[in-house]
Amino acid sequence: MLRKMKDMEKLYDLLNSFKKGNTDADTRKTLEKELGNMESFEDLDKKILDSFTEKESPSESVKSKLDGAFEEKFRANNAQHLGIIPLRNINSRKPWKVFAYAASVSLFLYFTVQVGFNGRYDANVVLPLLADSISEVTIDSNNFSVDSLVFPNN
Amino acid sequence: MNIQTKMKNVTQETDEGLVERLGLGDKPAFDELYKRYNRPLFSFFMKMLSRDREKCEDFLQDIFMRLFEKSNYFDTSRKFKPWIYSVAHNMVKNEYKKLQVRQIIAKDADTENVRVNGNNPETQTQEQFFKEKLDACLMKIEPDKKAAFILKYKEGFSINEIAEMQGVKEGTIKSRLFYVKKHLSYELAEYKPNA
Repeated sequence: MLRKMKDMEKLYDLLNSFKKGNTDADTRKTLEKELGNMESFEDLDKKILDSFTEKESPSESVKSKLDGAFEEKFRANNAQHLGIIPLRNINSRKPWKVFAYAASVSLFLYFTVQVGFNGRYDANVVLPLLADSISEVTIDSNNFSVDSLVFPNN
Repeated sequence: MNIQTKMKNVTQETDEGLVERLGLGDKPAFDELYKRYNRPLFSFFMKMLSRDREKCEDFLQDIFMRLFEKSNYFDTSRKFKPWIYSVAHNMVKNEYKKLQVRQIIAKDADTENVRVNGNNPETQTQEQFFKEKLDACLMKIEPDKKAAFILKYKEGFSINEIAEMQGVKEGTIKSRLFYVKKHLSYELAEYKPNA
């Protein structure tokens, strides 16, 4: 089997050298034995290549389906375009970009949730997104109490 | 940058550059890649999958879907064309394995022969007969050999590129190519002008 493959490999090289003009008697004889009349075969070769030049085209529906899928895929990934970087992409970014990103997240958190500590165990917490105001929150090592919560009426 | 300038840039872009832009969701880049490759790939599938148009369209859709789903995984230091054809070749190989289409193909080839012989010669030109007979002959050849032949003579890939796509040595590709040529020269003997 391996020998047969090696022979074919040699014949392939011989055929190519024949095409390049090496038409000596030995080459011709060997190839004629394998492929029949070489001149006719060359015509056949051309015919085969000519028949390959025809190119079929797919129907338009393929493109429209792909357009739909493309739209869907990149709409799903739109978060990236809104400035939200998926965590898996963070490590491929430059350090200053990671720092800028972390800073912007910190600022966002600072303005959204403000936490102030009054004492070692006491804290006043204001959660503007949840309630209009929390009058007093006391945290110590044993208990956590909230005096009152005022939620908006709407 | 206006749309026209952007489009112009896309047409001048290399395949590898287009894939990079595709990863960022650039639609014109995708359109351009589709324009460049839809016909050659479809034609490759048609030759490899016994001209089953519906299946070939599904395959074409699938390969482009993979392209924009996995464009981030493409190594832009590699050439795009051999890469996309190696994906296409693997898809075809898997299809052969999965459905064992060899038997179906053999049946199809027989049907094709009957159809070719059964047609009225006056209504078909010699070229059409030749094309149909060639397709029927190609269907009988093993997928790896057939793919090597189509990639070399239809798509113009080098022996080295085909060897890389198929994961074999260059010598193996040469022997596959010679085998197909020899097979076709016997099968199509009646079409030789001097025969």
